[in-house]
Amino acid sequence: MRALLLTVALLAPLPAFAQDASRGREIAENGAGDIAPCASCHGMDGRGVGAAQFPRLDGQHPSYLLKQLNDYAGEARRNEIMTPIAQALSEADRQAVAAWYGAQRFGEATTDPRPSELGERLVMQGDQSRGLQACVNCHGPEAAGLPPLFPRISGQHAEYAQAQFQAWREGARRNDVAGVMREISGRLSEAESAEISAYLEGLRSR
Amino acid sequence: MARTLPKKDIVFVGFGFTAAVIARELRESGLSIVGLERGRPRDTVPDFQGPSMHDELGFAVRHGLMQDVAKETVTVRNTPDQHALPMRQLGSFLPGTDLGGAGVHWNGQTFRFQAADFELRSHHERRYGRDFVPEELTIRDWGLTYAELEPSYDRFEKLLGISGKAGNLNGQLQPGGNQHEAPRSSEYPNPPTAPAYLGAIFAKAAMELGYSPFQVPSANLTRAYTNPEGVRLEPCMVCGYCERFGCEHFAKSSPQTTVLPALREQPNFELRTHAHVLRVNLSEDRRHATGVTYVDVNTGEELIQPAEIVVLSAFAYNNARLMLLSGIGTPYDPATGEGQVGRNYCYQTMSAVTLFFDEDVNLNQFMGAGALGTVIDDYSGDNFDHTGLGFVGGAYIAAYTTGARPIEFHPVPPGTPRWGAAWKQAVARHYNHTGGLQCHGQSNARRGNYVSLDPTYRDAYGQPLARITFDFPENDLRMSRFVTDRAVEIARRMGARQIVAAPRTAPWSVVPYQTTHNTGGAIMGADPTETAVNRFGQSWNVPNVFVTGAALFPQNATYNPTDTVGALAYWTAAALKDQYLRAPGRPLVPA
Repeated sequence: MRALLLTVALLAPLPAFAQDASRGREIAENGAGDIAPCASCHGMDGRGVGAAQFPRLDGQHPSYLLKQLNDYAGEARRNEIMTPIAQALSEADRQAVAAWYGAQRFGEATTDPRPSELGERLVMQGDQSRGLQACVNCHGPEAAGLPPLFPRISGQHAEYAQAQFQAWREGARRNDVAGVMREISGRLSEAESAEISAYLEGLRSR
Repeated sequence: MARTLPKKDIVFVGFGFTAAVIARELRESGLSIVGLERGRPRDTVPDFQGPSMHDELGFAVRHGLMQDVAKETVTVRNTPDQHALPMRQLGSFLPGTDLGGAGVHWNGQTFRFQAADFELRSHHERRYGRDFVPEELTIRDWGLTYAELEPSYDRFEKLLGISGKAGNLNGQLQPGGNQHEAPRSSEYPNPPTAPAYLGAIFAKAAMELGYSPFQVPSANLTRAYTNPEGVRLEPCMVCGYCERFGCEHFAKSSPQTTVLPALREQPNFELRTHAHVLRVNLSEDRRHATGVTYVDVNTGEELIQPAEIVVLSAFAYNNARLMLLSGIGTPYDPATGEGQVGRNYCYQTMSAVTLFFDEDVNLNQFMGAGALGTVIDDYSGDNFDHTGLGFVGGAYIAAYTTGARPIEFHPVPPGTPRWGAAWKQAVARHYNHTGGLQCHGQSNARRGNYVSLDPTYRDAYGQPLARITFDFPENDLRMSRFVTDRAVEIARRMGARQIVAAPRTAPWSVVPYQTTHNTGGAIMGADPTETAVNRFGQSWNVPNVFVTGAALFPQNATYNPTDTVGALAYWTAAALKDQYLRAPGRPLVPA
C-alpha cells in the first residue's frame, strides 16, 4: 500500500493539468464549437449514465482520461459518439477536459453491492486453470485504479464495462498495455465478463 | 525405523527449474518419476496474488519466499584458518525454498555465457600465454563447449519465452542485439523490452563512448506467449515487484508458468512436497545409489524412497552438501588441493555506481521489472584485451530499473544524516532522481574457496550444515576496480550531478545483499580426480547419481547463471534419455 500511495503522490501534481481545469469546466458545461457539453452525458461531476453506457469519469487520473481522448481521436479506440468529439477537440482542449474530470473526486457508489461468487473470484484471484490474471493485480487494491495506466474499475457502470469487454474482443478498442485487455477479454465468456462487470459496479472502495 | 516405499525409476531431490525440465524431458521414457521438494506446493493463484504479493516488508525485507534459516542455514567464513559461524539472518544471498525454488523469486535476467567461458583456462593460455592466469586462480575448462550447449540454450529460452534481440545469428551480427554474444541458432521468441528512461540515457551515453548497448534478455515477457509445452504466459505489466516476489501476472517465467502445468498432466510423474531429503543411500561398495532417505516434514516420519537413478537438483551448495553427507566422491581439501566435492565454490563480483541527478531528471523507476535493463557487454569476460591489465575476467555494466520500492530504495548522497528531518528531506529530494549502474562481474575460482561440512553446527534434522569458505580473489577485486571505473565514465556522460562509485572490496561479508548466484561445489570437468561429475553431470564415483544446477560451474562467468543452469538441465536430460537409459548404470565418460 505504501508503494501505491507513493506512486500516486509522485504523479499527482501535474502543473499542466492544474492550469487547464477552468477551461475544462467551460467545455464540460457548454461544449466547444459544435461539440455538445460533456456534462450532457457524463454530468458535471462525471457520474455518467449506466443504462446508456456513458462511463463514470470521476475518480480517474487525468493522464488516463487524456490518453483515452487522444486514442479516440486516433485509431486505437473507435466509438461512434466519442471519436468525432475527440477529433474536434484541440489538443489543449482535450487536456483541459481531462483536467476537469480528473479533478472530480470519486463519488458515492450508484448501486448496492452485488454478491457474485464467480465475479469476485475472477476480480480478486483470477483463474489458475486458464492462467487468467486477477483484475486487482493491475487495477490495484479494491480495483480502485493504479495511475496513470490502470483506471479505476470499481464502481464503474456495469453496462459500460460490459461494452468495453465487447470492444476489446472485437478490436474496436486496442489501446491497452501489451494487448493485455484484448487477451483477457478474448478468454472470458460473455457471461463471465457480465458477472465481473456487475460485481465491480457494486464493489466498495475507499 | 524408516519405512521403505515402493521403488521408483528416478527420484529428484529438490523441485525447481532443473528438476522440472528433466522430468518433462523424460515424459516418453517409460520411467516412473518422483520429485521430492522440501517446501510447500504453491502456484500463481492463490499464492502470488495482488495486492498481498506487493507486501515489500513481508517478502523483500522479511524474505517470505526464502529458506528458513532457523531450520537450515550455512556457516560462513573467509579463510580456512577461521572458525565458521552460522548465517542466522539472510543477507548476501537469498536461497529460495518451496515448489519452483528460486525460479519463483528471481528477476528474470537471462544471459548466455560466452564461448570462452566454457574453456576459460585454455582460452586464456591460447590468447595470452601459459603464465597469464594469476597463480591464485584455479579456473578450469568445463569439458563442454558452447557449441555443444547452444541447442539446449535455445530450448530453455523458448520454454521461458525470453524477450530479447539477437546480436549474433549463426555468425551474422545483428543490429540492436548484443554484438559480443556467441552465435545463436535462432532469434529470441519474443521482442525485447522497451528501455526505461534510465536505460535510455545510459544507452545514449554508452553509444557516444563507442560501446554497443542493448536490452537485457528478459524473462519478464513483452507479450502473451504460448511455449513449446503448450503453457501460456502473459505480458509483463512493469509493476516493479519481481525479485523476492512471485509474479501475479503469469508474466515472469518460473517453473509454475512454463513447465509445471504440463508436468502435472504427465502420467509417469508424481510430486511430493514437504519431503526433506537427508541423504542418498549407497550400496555397500559405494558405487551405486539405492535411493534416498527423506523426512515427511508434516509428520516427522522418516521414509526410504528406493530408486534406480537419483538426481540432485537442489540449490547449488546443497547439492555439494548432499554428496558430502552421503559419501559420494572424495571431499576437497584446500591444504592439498586434492578431492572432488566442494571445490571451486564461486560467487559473483558485484559493484555499483550511484548517479544523483538534478531535480528535472525524473526517472520514475517505480515502473520497473526485474530484467528491465539496458546493458553493455564490452567489458564482460574476455570481450576486451586484458594485456597489461593484471587480471582475467570482466563484468557487464547495466542500468536496471527494477522497481525502486519504497522500503528498500531511498538513496541519499554520502554525508546525509542517517535519520531525522534532514534524512527525510534528502530522500524526498533524491528518490525520483537517482539511478544506479550495476557491474555484474565474473567470479574466479581459487584454492581456498570451497564448500565442506561444518564440524560444529547442525540443522533441524541433526545433520551438519554446509560450510562456505569464501573471499574475493585479488584478481577479481582488480577486475571490479577496472570495470567500475568504466561505469563511472559512462555515469559522467549521462549527466549525473554527483557520482558515487563502490567497487567490490574484501573481505566478503554475509550481511549486505549482493546476489544469489552461488556456484560450484559439484563441478563438472574432464578430470575424474579433480571434479565431482563428468561433462553430463553424472557422478564419477556413483554413476546412477546426476547433479544439476550452478553447482556444476567450475567458476562463475560474468553473467546471471539461470540461462546456463536451464541449458545444462536440457543437456543432462538428453544424456539420460539418449545415452544412459540404453545402458543404465554405466559411466557416460570412462573414468
